[in-house]
Amino acid sequence: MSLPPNLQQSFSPEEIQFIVENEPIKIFSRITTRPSVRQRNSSQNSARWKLVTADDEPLNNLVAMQTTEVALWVALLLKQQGKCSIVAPSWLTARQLQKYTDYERKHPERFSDLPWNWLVVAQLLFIKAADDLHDPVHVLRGIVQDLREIRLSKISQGLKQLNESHLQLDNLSLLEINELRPFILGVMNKLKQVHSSLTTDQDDEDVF
Amino acid sequence: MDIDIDDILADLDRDTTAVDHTFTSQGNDITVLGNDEPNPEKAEVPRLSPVKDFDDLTTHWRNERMCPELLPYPHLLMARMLRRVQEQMEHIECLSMGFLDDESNNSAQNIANKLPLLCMEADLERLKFVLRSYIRCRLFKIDKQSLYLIQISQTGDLTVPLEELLSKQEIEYHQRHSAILLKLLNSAILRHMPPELQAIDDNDGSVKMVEEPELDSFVFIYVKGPDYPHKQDPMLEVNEEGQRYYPVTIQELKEEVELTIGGIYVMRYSVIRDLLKDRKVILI
Amino acid sequence: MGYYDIDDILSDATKFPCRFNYSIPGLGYLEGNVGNPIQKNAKIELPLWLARVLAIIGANADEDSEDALPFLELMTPDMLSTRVMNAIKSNPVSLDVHSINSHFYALATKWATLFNDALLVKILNVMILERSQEINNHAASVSIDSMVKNDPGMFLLTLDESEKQLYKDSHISCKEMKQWMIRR
Repeated sequence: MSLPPNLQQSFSPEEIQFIVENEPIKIFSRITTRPSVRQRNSSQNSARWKLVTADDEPLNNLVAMQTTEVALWVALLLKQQGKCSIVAPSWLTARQLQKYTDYERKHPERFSDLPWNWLVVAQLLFIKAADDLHDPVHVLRGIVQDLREIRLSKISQGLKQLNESHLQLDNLSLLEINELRPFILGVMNKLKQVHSSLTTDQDDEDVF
Repeated sequence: MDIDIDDILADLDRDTTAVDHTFTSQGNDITVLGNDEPNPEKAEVPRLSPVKDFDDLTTHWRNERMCPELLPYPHLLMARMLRRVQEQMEHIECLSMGFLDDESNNSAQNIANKLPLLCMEADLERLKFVLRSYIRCRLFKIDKQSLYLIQISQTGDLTVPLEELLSKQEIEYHQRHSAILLKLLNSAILRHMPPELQAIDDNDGSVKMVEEPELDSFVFIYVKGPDYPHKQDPMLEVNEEGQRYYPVTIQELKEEVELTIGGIYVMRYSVIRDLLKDRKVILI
Repeated sequence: MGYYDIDDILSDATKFPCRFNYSIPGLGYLEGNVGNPIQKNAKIELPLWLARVLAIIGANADEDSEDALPFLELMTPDMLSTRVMNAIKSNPVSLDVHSINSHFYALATKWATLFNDALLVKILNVMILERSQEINNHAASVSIDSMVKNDPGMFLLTLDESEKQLYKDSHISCKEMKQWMIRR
């Protein structure tokens, strides 16, 4: 089969990670790639960065000790090679995350406006750039776990509202949506099937 | 490297969907020369760039994966992408050859140069991954809807011509695959049955024999809004809270829904089909 | 639900009780009485695919069509009896749907279509929602450590075929997610 069954209805978490890895993130470079004036004139820089999926402009103009923005996967690769440190997003601190957690607890009906890729970015930076984070990684992990659990239980509450018409899912991240996709689609398609068994005759509507 | 006309046209292409219904009569080879935007404001037309193309390809891939029906093949975008893979492979090969040559004389420089190479290889692999996954997904759907595709191309029920729906290679694949399938069904079972029971495409019974894509099934959408945010979009309306939205109607329930820009919804595919075609929503 | 959908075929083969509106010569074999007619008001069970047709088509095409009774009348099967409906209303989650019928929803939906039964649809709606919450809880709480065999619990044994599929799909998704979360 050209597409494995588990990928026919949904994405895998790894594929969601792939999508998120194309998003930009700030890095603090440890190398310089910007050519000096002399080099620029001699046009002898054969090993320039030339990319087909991401912007290569910032990579050809890296200056040590300066920040720039690159795709997340590039940042992780440079980080792994010890050529940069990653500037953690402003929401990824114990203080900010705690604020989000408080909001989630205070508003049982709503989701805080975490970025749509928060869970993937957090997990990736925990694993690959723990030393660039402002707080100890075990502390951050703990809060992220709390956040995830609070949101999951809210989602379960929300699932009672599923119907045959439609659903709005604001402020849920792509990974969270993907996890629930098979369930939500399964239930909604079934509800739709049951409801469409009725002929939509005007006379019958007063039964409800 | 031989340059063919498709490549040149692909480079001129600004509207990467390539399937613009106003041009359907001419196939996909002329569309690129014109852009039917009446007066494209220069600043708003995104420049053709590898990054923009990759973005578009990723969107096509995600849409295709989540869509119950087969979506039109982006001929020009794919031509550019496949050519870019080829060129990049050659480029990387050239660079690696260079390293072998001056391995001895300048090793410090050498190591510094290996980083871009590492990165470029990863970059190329990422592009190849999306391309492969996209094509695999399409092949899966072509297999699954094999009989349906034959049926709609015979009855003329195609919403877009087959040459736009599928790539040249996909058409060939589809034709050969369905020929083999029919031959197998025929020699294994059908020819042993009485003639009146040999049909495999009888749609007159209570259940149609040819399985159609379920256009009413639910999909997850992100409401992206028009390509050029400042331009007027006649489909858009503004609600009391000042949010811009697309009004849609769920026919079966006679229900109106506001799809607010930036919102995420679970909706029947048939309801948002046209918005998807106009690239105002994407499937997620 | 397509032509080759095995669950649809199986559910259509489920036998439903019917009552004949006419005596029909030669049909006795349906109740094991070969060669004899079937009597008017005879109650027998027929597979749904057959009963449905006979319950729709009128027998006397030449008579006034308003009074023309169809060949037979479908009677409410046990699975949709008041007793079961009350059990659903009181506690859908504790109900052993599988033992009532392994294609319960498919059949109930077909029944609702035949009789345009809005009340049944309403009951099914609540039932689907309540039971699927429970299915989700089970799907999400499964340990990814294959060494620890989770007790599947009685609830999972009570699922009908479509519920099993929902459980499987959700379970795979939750498992993949958990594996992704703990990877280094």
